[in-house]
This record gives sequence, C-alpha cells and structure tokens, in this order.
Amino acid sequence: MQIRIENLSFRYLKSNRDNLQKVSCTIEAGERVALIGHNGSGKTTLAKHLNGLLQPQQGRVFIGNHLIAGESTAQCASKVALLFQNPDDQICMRRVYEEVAFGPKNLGHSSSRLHILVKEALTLFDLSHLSESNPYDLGYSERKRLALASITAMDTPILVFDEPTAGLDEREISLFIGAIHNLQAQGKSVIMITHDMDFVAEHIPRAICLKSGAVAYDGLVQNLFNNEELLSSCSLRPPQVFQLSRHLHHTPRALTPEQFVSTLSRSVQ
Amino acid sequence: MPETHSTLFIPGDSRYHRLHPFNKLAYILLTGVTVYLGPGKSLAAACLIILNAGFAVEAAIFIPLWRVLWRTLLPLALYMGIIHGFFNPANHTVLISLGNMSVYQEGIQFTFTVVLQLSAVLSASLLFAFCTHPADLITAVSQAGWPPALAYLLGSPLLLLPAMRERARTIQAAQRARGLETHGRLSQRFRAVFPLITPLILGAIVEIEQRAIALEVRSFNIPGKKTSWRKVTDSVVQGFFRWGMVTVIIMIVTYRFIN
Ligand SMILES: Nc1ncnc2c1ncn2[C@@H]1O[C@H](COP(=O)(O)OP(=O)(O)OP(=O)(O)O)[C@@H](O)[C@H]1O
Ligand SMILES: [Mg+2]
Repeated sequence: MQIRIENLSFRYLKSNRDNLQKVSCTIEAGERVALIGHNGSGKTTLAKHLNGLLQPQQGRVFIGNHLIAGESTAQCASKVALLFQNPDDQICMRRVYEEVAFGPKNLGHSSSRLHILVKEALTLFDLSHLSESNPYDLGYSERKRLALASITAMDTPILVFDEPTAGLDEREISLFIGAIHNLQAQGKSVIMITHDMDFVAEHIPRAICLKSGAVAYDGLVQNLFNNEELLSSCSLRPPQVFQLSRHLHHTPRALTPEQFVSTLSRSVQ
Repeated sequence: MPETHSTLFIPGDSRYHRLHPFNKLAYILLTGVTVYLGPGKSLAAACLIILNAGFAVEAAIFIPLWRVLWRTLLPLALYMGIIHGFFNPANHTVLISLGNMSVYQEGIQFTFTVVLQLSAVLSASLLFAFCTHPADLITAVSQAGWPPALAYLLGSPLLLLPAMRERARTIQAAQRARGLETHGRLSQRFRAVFPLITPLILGAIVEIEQRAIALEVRSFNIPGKKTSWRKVTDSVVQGFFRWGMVTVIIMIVTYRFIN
C-alpha cells in the first residue's frame, strides 16, 4: 500500500517553531525506508501523522489513495502499525500471548487467524517459549522484542518502527532483520526511524533525512553518505567501513564490511 | 521542557503567589469549615467565592481557574439538578410542570447550595495548586521542623499527578495505534479504561523504586539538619493571620459541636 505525503506542516501547541515544514514524499508498497535525522528533527512527529495520532495542520496524507483526515487512529490501525519508542508505553496485558493478540483482536481478525498471527509473530522474535510469562517479568530487550512482535502480528500493509534496534543485541538485531525481510517478501512497506547508520547502510536502500522538520534528503543511502556537508549539517556520520573506503579512494564506496573486503582484495590482486 | 509542563503550578509573582504555603493551606481549611459547618451556608459560600475570584484576578490565574471549575462542576450541577429537581424527598413547591412530572424548588435549592459549597472549596484548593510550587510546600514543611518524609509525602502527589496524566495519554495513544477505540460511545470509552490500568500502575511502581534510589543516593535519610536552597518567606503578619485562621476554624468547629 502506497503512502503519499503532500506539503505536510505541523506545529505543537507549545512550540515556537514549525516541527514539520512542508514535508512531501511518496513511499511505495513493499519499500524499505529509513527515516533519519538529528534529535528533535521531527521523525516521531512525522510517524504519528501516518496513523492519525496527529492530524496535519497543513497538507495531506494519503494511505493507499485514501486521504486520512478526521479518521480515528483506531481506524488507521488496520493499515498502519506503529511501534512506539518505549516498549513500556505499549505493554498492557498480563500474558505475552495476550499482549501480542491485543492488536489483531482489536482489528477483528477471526480467532483461528488470530492464533496463527500470534504464533508467527512470537516465532519471528523468538518469544514462543515465553508465551505464558508476564511481560513485566521480562528483561528490557525481551520487552522490546515483545513490542515488535505485537506490531508485526497486526498484519498491516504498512509498518512504522520508531527506534526498533535500540537496546537489542546482535542476535536480536538479526531476528529483526529476518523479520523485515519476511515482511518485504509479503509486499509490506517498512519505515524505520533510527540513529544506527551501520544498520541503515547494510539493510535499508532508501533514506529520508529530516533536518529541523524539513526534508533535507530523500534518495539512495549510498548517495547520502557521499554528501559529507549534508551529513554533518544533519549531525549524522557514515559507518566506519564507508569512511575507511573513502579514505582508500574505493569506488563505489563500501556500505558493508563484505563489500569493503571484496573491493580491497580486488585492488590488492 | 519548561516546569509548567510537569506540575499544575503557573509561575507568577503576585501577592498570592508569595504567601506562605501554610497560609494558603489554612485558608483552604477555613473555607471548608466555614462552608460546611459555619452559619449562613450559601451566603458564606457566595462571599468566599467572590473573595477567591478576587485572589485569582490578583494572581493572574482567573481564566485557567475558571476553566477547571466549570468543567468539573457544570456536569455535576446538571446531573444533581435533574435528580433533585424531580425526586428530592423534601420537594413540595412546584416550579415548572412538564406533563405529569414537575420540577420542584426545594431540589433546585439543594443543588444550588451543594454546588456553591463545592465551588468555594474547589476554587480555594485550585488557588493553592496553581500558585504554590510543590517545592515551596516541601521546603515550608521541612523548615517548620517536620520530618522530611512528611514533606515528601505532601509534595510528591502535586508533582506526580500531572506526570501520570501525561503518561496515561502516551499509553492510550499506543493502544489506539493498535486498534483500540478509546473515543466514541460511552461503552467503548469504558472498556478502554481496563488496558490502561496495568501499565499505569506498574509504571508508577517502577518509578517509585527509581525515586527511592534517587533519594537514597542524595542522602535523603542522613541524620542531622539540612539546609535548603529554596527560601520560603514568612513574616510576623503572615504568622498572625495564619494563627487567626486556625483560631476561627477551631471556633466554628466548637460552635457546631455546641449547637
Ligand atoms: N508534545 C509536544 N509538545 C511540544 N513540542 C514537542 C512535543 N513533542 C515533540 N515536540 C518537539 O517537536 C520536535 C520534534 O520532536 P520529535 O519527537 O518528532 O523528534 P525526533 O526526531 O523523533 O527526535 P528523537 O530522535 O529524539 O526521537 C522537537 O523539537 C520536540 O521538542
Ligand atoms: Mg523520536
């Protein structure tokens, strides 16, 4: 399902500047996009416009050719699932299984479908063995995975993750990578807000970069990292392998360690 | 974020703001006692409301105070007005006849008195909450030589409530994002309350633990007298008025017992 944002502007009640300024972009079905930018650049604010938690003060938001204006968040939830930054704002049930079932149940899935969705999501994030536990007995990263599982179980065509990898270790991040590949295989769009440039370089082809509420860059991640001035003005830094390959004048510059090693071995031969 | 976001306090430098917190507390107590136990119920309440309105104008908080007041009391007034206007057992003077039902004067009068009394107490309490920084209350209590634990107990709800309200909003937003209908029909709103309770209470318990640790690492329980960075000004005149109010409170209570 396509997302189209046209000239979206927004200012919080107690703010003295526009927190989003004429943001326009289109995200196609099945795309994987990173939403990046400095702290306070408006990433979360933009994400909240995609499911009606915030209503645009100017401009329009379309989800699959359907204008969302005056539609309640609960209605948007069947199309757009949003992971909140802090898992503890989200967890509200006494059992892990119930927690994951909360979203799809609200969306009115049949009970057999519900069971399948929950089982799949639990397996995807390696939580099956904890399905009877109380979410509050879990550790932070387990709760984070639980929140991720609850969002993917909603089976929406669009998923927005706000800082999904914060607090996860290598193994857990690879679970998440597996999950987003799985989602893309089903033709779902994934938008991921993150500060982790290594992750973006390796796994996300397109980046939208916000700077003080305005779109500063929208395009391929490779080209973004080449633009040093823009990067530093957005308080961003390319991954270390990229910096290293720039230093060694490799073309194209490597985004992943594998690319770096293969270019290096070619130049040595 | 500015301080106003996390407490009810509205900064200002009026006379009412600068009053000693105990004077404002004594005034709330005096209002309550006068209105509920003193003679001349509605008249006394009306006078106190006018006085409070004057204070609110002086402290430049009339608009926010008025907003909270009518939002709280109007629904109550309507609800009570209907119930008592029609069904109060003391009803016998008909005001308006609607078919075979009638609205009676006694019920309306009763509602009027109750709302007036509540307005007086609520406006005095809101004056206190809007014009007293919780830290000043805490400082005043510990300067008076009472245990700091008591000061914390008194002050923390004022600091915590707005933070809890903010958290409840975030939690509800997260649940709406997962398809829970929290607006709309009354039954839907009611059902939406249950999933809110667990994260709110458990979150608060976790926070209490963190607060305890934070207090401990700042030597909250260390014996000996502590000095305070904040100063709460007091004066002989204020002390005089304070004890004056306490005396009147005692007099009214005694009067009530004798009669
Ligand atoms: N409820 C609010 N009221 C007023 N201003 C707000 C509110 N929420 C956010 N802001 C402001 O809006 C701007 C954008 O905030 P937002 O949370 O969207 O940033 P962000 O890009 O998600 O940052 P981070 O990387 O820290 O999560 C910030 O300057 C922030 O201070
Ligand atoms: Mg954010």
